Amino acid sequence: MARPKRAGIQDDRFDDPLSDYSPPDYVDQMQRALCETPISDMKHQPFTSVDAEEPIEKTLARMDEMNIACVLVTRDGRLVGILSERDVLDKVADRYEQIHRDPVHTVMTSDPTAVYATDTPAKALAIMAEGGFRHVPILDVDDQVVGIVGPRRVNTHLRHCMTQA
Amino acid sequence: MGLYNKLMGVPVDRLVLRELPTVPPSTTVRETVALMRSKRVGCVAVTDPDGRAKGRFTEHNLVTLLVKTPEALDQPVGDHMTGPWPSVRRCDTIAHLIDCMETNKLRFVQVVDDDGLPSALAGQKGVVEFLAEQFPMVVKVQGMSSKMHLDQREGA
Repeated sequence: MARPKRAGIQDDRFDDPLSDYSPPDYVDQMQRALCETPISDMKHQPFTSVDAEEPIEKTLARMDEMNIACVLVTRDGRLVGILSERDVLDKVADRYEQIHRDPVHTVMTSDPTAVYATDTPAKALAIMAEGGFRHVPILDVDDQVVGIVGPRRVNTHLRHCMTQA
Repeated sequence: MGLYNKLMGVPVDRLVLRELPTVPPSTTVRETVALMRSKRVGCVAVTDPDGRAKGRFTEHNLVTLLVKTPEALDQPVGDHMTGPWPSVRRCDTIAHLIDCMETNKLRFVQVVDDDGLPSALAGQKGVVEFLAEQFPMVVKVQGMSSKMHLDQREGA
């Protein structure tokens, strides 16, 4: 006996993006490198992390001194957020004098999307493009931060791939 | 066409280019920051009377300014810009753009027209978006949640 259709479902077709399990065909070595190598093969260190309770002024001084575009924010060693230059533009610049001693967690972007060290560079690129994030933290299997990738490191990696191709 | 050939052959014009706001050097930093925020861009071109970019003011300049001279928010942006600013043309290849950004340690490059006037903003974000388009399956199955694990395991 045929199963009755559930209300609201007009079509039995389901276009499963994972239905094709055959190995992908890569058109060149650069594409293969981005899709098959672990992201840990890319330059993903050093990275800078600060405690969530650190004052905003101290965090900004650290970003300026180290010439970096973002810092990872941790609490008890766990990643809880990220503070980027865009956060400074959007949430800090106009009221810096009032909030410069407040803890950094009050202006950070909470719960950033991260990837594992075993994921591919292509996955990080997808997160950057689809999510609009410039920087993607990298975690190990215990969810501890081991690095970060951003557009500049992607560029450096691409340039390296281009010279190898 | 392979990814390498695309980067070497596709022009910058094919990237999603951002609007490049311009301000005269006399604009205050505070006004410039408000413009960057409203346009959702990370930098503006500071232009001379001919419309050419004398330099740029970026989010990074803003961080430095807040750390070292927060009272300078009401000073002219021309005193706090970085210049000169390398440029690319729309017909240049994406590989050339990557090379320009990497060589000069830049996140943004101005795209100039035939007269050398700034017409758009190209940056690392546009390159990343172009690359992601080359991996549609990776993008389709991408989970955008920040949670890496389930709170509780599934099953017995």
